[in-house]
Amino acid sequence: MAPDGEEQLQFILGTLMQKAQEGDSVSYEKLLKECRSLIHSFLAKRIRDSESVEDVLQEVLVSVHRARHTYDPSRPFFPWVYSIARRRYIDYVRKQTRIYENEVQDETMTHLPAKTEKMVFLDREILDQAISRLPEKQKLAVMYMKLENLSVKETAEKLSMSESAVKVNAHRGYKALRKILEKMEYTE
Amino acid sequence: MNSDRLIHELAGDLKPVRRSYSIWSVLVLWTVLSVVWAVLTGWMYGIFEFTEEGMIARFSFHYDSFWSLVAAIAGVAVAFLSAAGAYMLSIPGRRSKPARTAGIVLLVLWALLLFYGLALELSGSFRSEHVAVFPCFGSVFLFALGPSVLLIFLLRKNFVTNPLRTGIFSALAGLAVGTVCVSVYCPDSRASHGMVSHFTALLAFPLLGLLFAKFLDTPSQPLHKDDEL
Repeated sequence: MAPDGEEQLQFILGTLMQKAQEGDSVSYEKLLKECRSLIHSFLAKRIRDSESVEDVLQEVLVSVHRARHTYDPSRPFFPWVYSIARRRYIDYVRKQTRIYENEVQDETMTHLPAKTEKMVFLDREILDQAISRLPEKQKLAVMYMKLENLSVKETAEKLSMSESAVKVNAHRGYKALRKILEKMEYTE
Repeated sequence: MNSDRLIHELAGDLKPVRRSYSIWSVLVLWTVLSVVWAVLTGWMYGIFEFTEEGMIARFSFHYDSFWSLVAAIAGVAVAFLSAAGAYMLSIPGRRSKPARTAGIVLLVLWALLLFYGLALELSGSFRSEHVAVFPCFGSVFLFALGPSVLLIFLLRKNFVTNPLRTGIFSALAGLAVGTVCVSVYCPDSRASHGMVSHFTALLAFPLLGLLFAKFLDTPSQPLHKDDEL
């Protein structure tokens, strides 16, 4: 978009936000729809997984709603909205890092012997029974990655999912599996 | 939920809002209430004479040399600039860097002036008085408590984009007020004392900032319960 067009759009969005601050819901809906495409392209450049883009986009829209009183109509609109989008993008990156670290920790823990050096062996039948209780996506992620030893990439291809979605599902699956096994008294 | 539905719900739920206070309103309010806090805390210590003669005597006792007066002015400027920087960080898209940089530069100047006073004291060319032991380190925190909490309270109403930085600069602003106040009330005017007992407390601002950051965070709200890990 040409700089003039960009400035014009910025002015229009600023005006719409000013009206939204006064309670005009029609202007506000228009503004959020315009913002959606701006934020979407901002996030799509940074996040590969389209599902995550949509999730973060919605979080940004909620944040724009919560922060709307902080917009000053005498100032440009773009730095305001992109600053909120950046904040939520950073939150997303941190969350992904946390998930990855937990996953690594979980995987490391499963290879460690139990506290008393006594190994806990699980009957395959019981394990299958526990896995079968998981939600479909989690079940498939755990089965491919743990029982068939496929990599994240291979699992993602098999399930037609993004790699990060596989990681999230596998992580949730491990947690749920642990709880199920605890209930079945097959873990310490 | 798809974004169309979300937008529709957000627009349907719209209520008029009052815009955030301007930086000047916040700084004026913060200054007035910080002064009230400082006076009340000083009164609690029972060492401040609320008479014109008493105040002049107190100020002339502490600021009888050029460097000590400039150091106090630098301290006040650090407090204002840090508070302004913290405010800017609580409004999305506002540039906070100039205020934050100026605050840090003045903090360094403040430290240098104290070193200068210390050098004069050690060379014996600056007459100083050591009157009594005063619980300065703790007092700096006590004097800083009001301004810090007040600033956090004012900034929480906005939308903090960087909680850690905002927390650190809020802590610096509060502690700078605390340090300046204690330097007025303290019966010991030596530069060495100011350096060790007052300025050292101020340097705890990053730690205090970490604590404040927890109160300033504006976490994203998960739209689906499953997203909470």
